[in-house]
Amino acid sequence: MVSRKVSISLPERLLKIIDRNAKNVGLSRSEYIARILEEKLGTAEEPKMYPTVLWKLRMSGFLKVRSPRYPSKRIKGRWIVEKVDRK
Amino acid sequence: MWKKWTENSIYYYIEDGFYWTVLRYWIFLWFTLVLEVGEFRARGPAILDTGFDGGVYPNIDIVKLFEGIKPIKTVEFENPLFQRSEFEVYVANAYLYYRGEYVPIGDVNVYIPVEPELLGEEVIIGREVINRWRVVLDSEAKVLRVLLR
Repeated sequence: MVSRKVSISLPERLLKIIDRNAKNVGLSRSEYIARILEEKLGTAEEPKMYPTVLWKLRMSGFLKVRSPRYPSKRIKGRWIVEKVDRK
Repeated sequence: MWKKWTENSIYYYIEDGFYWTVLRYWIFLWFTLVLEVGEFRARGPAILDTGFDGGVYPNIDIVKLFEGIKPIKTVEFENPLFQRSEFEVYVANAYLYYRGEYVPIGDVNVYIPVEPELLGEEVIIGREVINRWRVVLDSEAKVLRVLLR
């Protein structure tokens, strides 16, 4: 897709938030703003990655959410992810 | 035929949470679940929930295991809080973890919600998996016993 360079004015406060969120999700400022606009305008293509929820979380800059079922409780013990050595 | 060794697969209830208004605590029926996806293996506590029709309801750690994998199908579930919600279904190889031993329980469907609001911190095991077992709740001893076929 061909991109065009445009010049727009944004409040300083908003720009700081955009830059921070873009950095969190590993996107450039332009890419991040373009994705937000696509989502807002409903012109977004198919998810860039699966699972869709992971893509949405990365887009919004949040990767941690609270439980909708047990909002005030969390059982002790966390999940451990390891690489399997199949040798 | 139920395997004998599984008579020892006992998981103690987790109790917690006294409310300041009324003496009340949560009881969690749980066990340690292991999911294998590709070259990664995840292990952690999972809560038994007979109110969930699906297999495994994941947390973010499990969702990350499926990064880049296409779902096998998309389904809808009725959620008491959010009404009808869309889920992507993935398959993982599952085990029960007990005293350092991995006990295979076969492939399980993992239901990943499309909306981030529906993603919880706890992993939930639904009837699709529970129905494969004989589950004994011993409330006097406060233990859960899992018996596999």
